[in-house]
Amino acid sequence: MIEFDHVSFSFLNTPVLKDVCFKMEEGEFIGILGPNGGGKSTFLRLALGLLKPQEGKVIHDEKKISYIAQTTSISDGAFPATVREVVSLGLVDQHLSFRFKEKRRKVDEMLERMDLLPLQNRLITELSGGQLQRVKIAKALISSPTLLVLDEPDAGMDEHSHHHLIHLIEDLHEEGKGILFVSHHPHDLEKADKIYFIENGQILTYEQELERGHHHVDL
Amino acid sequence: MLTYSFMRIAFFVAILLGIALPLVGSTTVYKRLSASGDALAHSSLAGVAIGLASGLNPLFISILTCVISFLIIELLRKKFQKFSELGVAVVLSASIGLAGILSHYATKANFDSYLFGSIILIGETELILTIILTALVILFSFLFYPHMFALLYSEKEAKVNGVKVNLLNFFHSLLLSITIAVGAKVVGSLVVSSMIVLPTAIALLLKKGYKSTLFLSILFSLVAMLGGLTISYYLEWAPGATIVMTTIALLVLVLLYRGILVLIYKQKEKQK
Repeated sequence: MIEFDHVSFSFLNTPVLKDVCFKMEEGEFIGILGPNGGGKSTFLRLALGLLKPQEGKVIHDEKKISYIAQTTSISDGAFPATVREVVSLGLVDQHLSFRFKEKRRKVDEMLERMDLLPLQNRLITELSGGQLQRVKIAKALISSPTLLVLDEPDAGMDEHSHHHLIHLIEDLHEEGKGILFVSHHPHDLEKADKIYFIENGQILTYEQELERGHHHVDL
Repeated sequence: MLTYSFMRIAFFVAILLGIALPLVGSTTVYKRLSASGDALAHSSLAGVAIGLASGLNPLFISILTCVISFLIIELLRKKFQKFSELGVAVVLSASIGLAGILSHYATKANFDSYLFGSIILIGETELILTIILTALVILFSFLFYPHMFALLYSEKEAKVNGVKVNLLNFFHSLLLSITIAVGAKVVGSLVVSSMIVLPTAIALLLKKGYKSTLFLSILFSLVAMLGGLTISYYLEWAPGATIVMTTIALLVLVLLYRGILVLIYKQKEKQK
C-alpha cells in the first residue's frame, strides 16, 4: 500500500506537487497519465521513497518494490553489460548471502521465463528495443516484487514489442502483482483498476479529468 | 634485472597499482568523468607543492587535497548536472595554478620526483601505503561489486533496490582520491591519470560484459605496468613515461585487432 497524505513538493520555490492525496492498495493496477513537466516524475520519486515530501507524508507499506526507470546508463548505448549480468542485478541485495547456486538457478529461471536464455551472453547494446525491455522486466521481476513501478518503459519500442509489453504487464497484474504504470498512451491502461492524471502539480481521477472536458483522454 | 632488490620492489608495487588503478578508475569512465583522474592527479601535485613549501609531509597533504578536490568535483557535478565535466575543469585549472605557484618554493628535484614518480626508489612508507590501499580497493571491489555495477547501471533503480548510493559513491571517491595520490608518488601524477582511464578504454574496445571488461582492464594494466617497467630497465628510459607509452601501444594493437576482425567479418558477409 502507498498513501499520499496532503503531499506538497517544490523545486527551488517552484511548486511541483500541490496538496496531493492518493492511495494505492496492495495488488492494484494504477495508471498515471499527464503531460511532461506536470509532476509525474516527482510523484513517482516520492512514491518510491527517493524524495521526502516537504509537506504532508507518504506512507509506505510495500514489502518489495521493483522499479523500471525511463533511462539508464545503457540508454546511450555504451555501457558494457550482458543480458545475464543485467538480470542478475535484480538480486543485488542478496550479494553477500553467498548462495551462488540458488542465485544462478533464479537467473536461469527468469531468463527462460522471459525467453532470454539464447541471448544471455549478448551485450545489451546489441539488443532490439523489445528484447531490451524484456531484460529490464526480467531484472525487475527476479526479486519477486509485490509492486512493479514502470516509468514510461516503452520508449524506443516498435508497435509489436509495445503490444507484447502491455500484455506482459496485464499478465503480471493477474498474477497478483501491484502495478504503478506511468504512460503516455491512455489505451495502455485499459486493464488498470484506476487511472489518475497529474497536471500542474495536481492529481485527478479519470472521471474528474473527463468532467474538465479533456476528451483526449478517452480510453 | 630481478637480482636488484629495488627492481623486485618496483615490480611488486607495479603489480599492486596495476590492479588498484583500473579497479577504481573504471567507474570514472562509466560516469563520463574520465578527466577527473587527470584533475585529481594534478590536485595531488598541488598538495605536494603545498607540503614541500610548508614543510609538511607532501604525500599526506596530497592525499588530503585529492579527497577535497573530489568532493568539489562531485559538488559541482550535482550543481551543474547538464555540464558535469565543468567541476573537473575547475579543479584541474585551480590545481595547475596552485602547483605552479607553490612549486617555486620547493626544490626542483623533490617536485620532479612527484611529477614523474619514482617507482624504482620507493620508500618504506609508500610501500606499506600501497599494500594497504590495494588490499582495501580489492576488498571494496569484491564486497560491493554488484552494488557499484547497479549504481552505474541506474542510480535510481539501485536506490529503490536498497543500495546506499550516496555512501558508496563517497567511499569510492575516497578510495579513488587516495589511490591517485599514492599512485602519483609511485608512478608520477602525469602517469597515474592515464592509468586510471586507459586500461578500461582498451578493454571497452573488445566489447565484453561488465565483469569481463573489468578483468581485461586489470590484465591490460598489468601488462602495461610490468612491460613498461621491463622496457624502461633495459633501454634506460623513464619508467613512468615508458609505462604510459606501453599502454598506448596496447591501445593501438587492440584497435588494429578490432579493425582486422571487422574486415574479416565484412569479407565473410560479401562471400555469402
